[in-house]
Amino acid sequence: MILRGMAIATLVIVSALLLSGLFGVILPALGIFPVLDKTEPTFDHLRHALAIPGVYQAIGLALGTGLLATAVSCAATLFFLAYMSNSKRLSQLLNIGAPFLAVPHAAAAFGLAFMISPSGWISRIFANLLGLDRPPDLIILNDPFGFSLVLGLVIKEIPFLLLMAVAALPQTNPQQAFKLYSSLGYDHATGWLKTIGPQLYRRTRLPVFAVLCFSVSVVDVAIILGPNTPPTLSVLITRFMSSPDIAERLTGSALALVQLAVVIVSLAIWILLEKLAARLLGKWIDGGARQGGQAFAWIAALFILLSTALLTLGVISLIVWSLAGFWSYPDLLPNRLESNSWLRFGPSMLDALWPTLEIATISSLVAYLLSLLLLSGAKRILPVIYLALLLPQIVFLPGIANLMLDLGMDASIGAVIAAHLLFVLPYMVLALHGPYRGLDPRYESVAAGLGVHPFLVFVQVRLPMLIGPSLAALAIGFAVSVAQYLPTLLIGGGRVATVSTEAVALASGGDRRVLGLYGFAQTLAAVLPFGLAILLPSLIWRNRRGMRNA
Amino acid sequence: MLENLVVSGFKLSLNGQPLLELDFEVEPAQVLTVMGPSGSGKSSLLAWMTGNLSPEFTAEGQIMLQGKNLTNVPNHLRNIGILFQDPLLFPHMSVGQNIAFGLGGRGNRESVIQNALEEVELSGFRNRDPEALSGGQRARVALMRALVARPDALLLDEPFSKLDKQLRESVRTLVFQRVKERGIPMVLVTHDENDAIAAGGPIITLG
Repeated sequence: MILRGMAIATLVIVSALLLSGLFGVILPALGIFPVLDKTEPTFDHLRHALAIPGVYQAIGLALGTGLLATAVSCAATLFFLAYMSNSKRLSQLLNIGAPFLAVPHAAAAFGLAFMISPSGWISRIFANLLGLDRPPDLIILNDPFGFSLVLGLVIKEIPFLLLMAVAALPQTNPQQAFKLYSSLGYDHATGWLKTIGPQLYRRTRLPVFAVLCFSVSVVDVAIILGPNTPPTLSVLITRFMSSPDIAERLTGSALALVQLAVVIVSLAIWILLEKLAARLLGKWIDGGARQGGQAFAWIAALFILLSTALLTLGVISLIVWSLAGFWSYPDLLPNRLESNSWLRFGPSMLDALWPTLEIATISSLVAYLLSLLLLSGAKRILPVIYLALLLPQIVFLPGIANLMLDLGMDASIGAVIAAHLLFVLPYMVLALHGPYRGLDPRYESVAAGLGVHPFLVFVQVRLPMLIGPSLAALAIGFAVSVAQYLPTLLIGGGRVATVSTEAVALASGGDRRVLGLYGFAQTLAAVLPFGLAILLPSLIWRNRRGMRNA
Repeated sequence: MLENLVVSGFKLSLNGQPLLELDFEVEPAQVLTVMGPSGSGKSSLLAWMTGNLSPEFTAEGQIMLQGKNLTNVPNHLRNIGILFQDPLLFPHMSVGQNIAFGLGGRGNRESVIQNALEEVELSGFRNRDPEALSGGQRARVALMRALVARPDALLLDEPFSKLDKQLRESVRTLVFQRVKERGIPMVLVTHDENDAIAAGGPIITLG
């Protein structure tokens, strides 16, 4: 009963924070902002916001890039799984994919920039093949249509969607369906797409919606890869909200309200696209074709191979650039590796790294305890926690920042940790949910029959049996926190500097050696805990065979 | 008798549909066998008796043991042990730790563990990984884990059904013998008639 009460209290606090964030942005957008002595409702700020030059383009860019990135990631994931249909290697994807998932968005975006820019690695390869000695005169990065932004989103969203889909796959009984459609003469991919595909999509709709809401409102990747004149709507809001002039927040809040509408519109468009896809699929199924899916599956497999290579080589290019001496175009490697950048920028990077690690450690540990509380105490109302994944950061974080200003609260590291918790917690609950519910309940019946108190059963049976999934969840929470940009920027009020905020702030300077160093440090901070989470259980349980594959 | 296990007015329903009605009394060292097809509610009877009925079921009735009404007592205070068809040894503990887990703070723990292992001919197995044991050995450890906790009654939920035929007989004999020696009532749920015959007690057939 106490547990249940505490779990419900946690959910109430989370929803209250989200709601107050929403009100904290709606009220200033409508002209009510006590800290500036404004209490008269007015539409002036909304009108003013919609008169900013380029604002409609910014809205269009947000919608277009977000929908395109989600559609491409979704299609690539589904068709790739069709390609892998019934493969035994599918379960290994979980282990291979996890580290890719951990690479922070900003670091992945820097890596991609180092690959595809006119003087990047890809261009250097072509220059060597074609005998060019000057970078091509093309605007690839920050292109006005946002294609590089879409690519930056896609390479990070594919691992996320793949992991979510693979986790949900067993519920669709793929083996049985495989036997059935094979016996009816369907080729693997076609049979998979017509039987498993739709069921699997239905079960991964929440992660897909989360990806869509994230993509139409992302800030850090859009600053690094997205267009500048105008930028996407979310970047515009960030500029107004982090301006030293507090009056600018009125416009920023009005724009955030517009962003909320943009997210809702994007969801509506997505649902229409779903209906269209269902129609096309229905026609295809009615037609009874036994072939035709394989080609798409091949293309998707190739696409995923390329996007994984881009992500991996991008991270490698971060390391190379951070150590690069003189590196002229079109050389594939610098003429020598040196530690100059590390020595010069290392100390200031470390100043940002310690708070990063501190915030990530505290928020992931607290989130772990809260996840356990929620999973054991709040079974039915648990989905409330996933709201934080659907409601875009750029909408309600400015609201919380506004409220903090109104209430005269100081921007402290504690407030930043609380803001991180809002995002770390749902991802950890998402990661722990399956293993927590999957534990055979008879173990606890046996333990109770031995007269052991439920709390001791929890500590001595359930927790140790869940060490593997717990460490994985902690690593995910840690990586989510390390990657956070907006909560640190807006709630920290510019006074809390982490590797993320520093790196994105340095992005406009364009010094590749510094960016490489920060991107590499950020990646390491997020990926190393995953290594531990994979290694530790096999060390702890080296004498317990029954726990190895748990 | 005071030590009897008494279930009276037991009514089980699944999502509002009545499934089963039962009354019975089991004496110390006696085995009551409940037989019936799957879905007849026999495992849910045991779950209710231990206080772990799944929420989709509802049940009424009373359970008395040692003269006490246990109906509203939390599951870990009922002192009713249970053995399932899987031995369910805790995979993260050694064989000895599994037995120690049910022991609480009673007496000389180390000698109780050693004696328990000796009783089922597993003396050298204290620090072994349960996963390294054979099926029959695991079943024996599970039995001793249940018995060192000194339960007032023991429930058996098809405990032999996953063992092969030869092993089944020897484990069955061992279980009945050890439990009868301790003079506690037992309820056995099974769909193997040989189990019922070997139990040698009253039989209730459901469905």
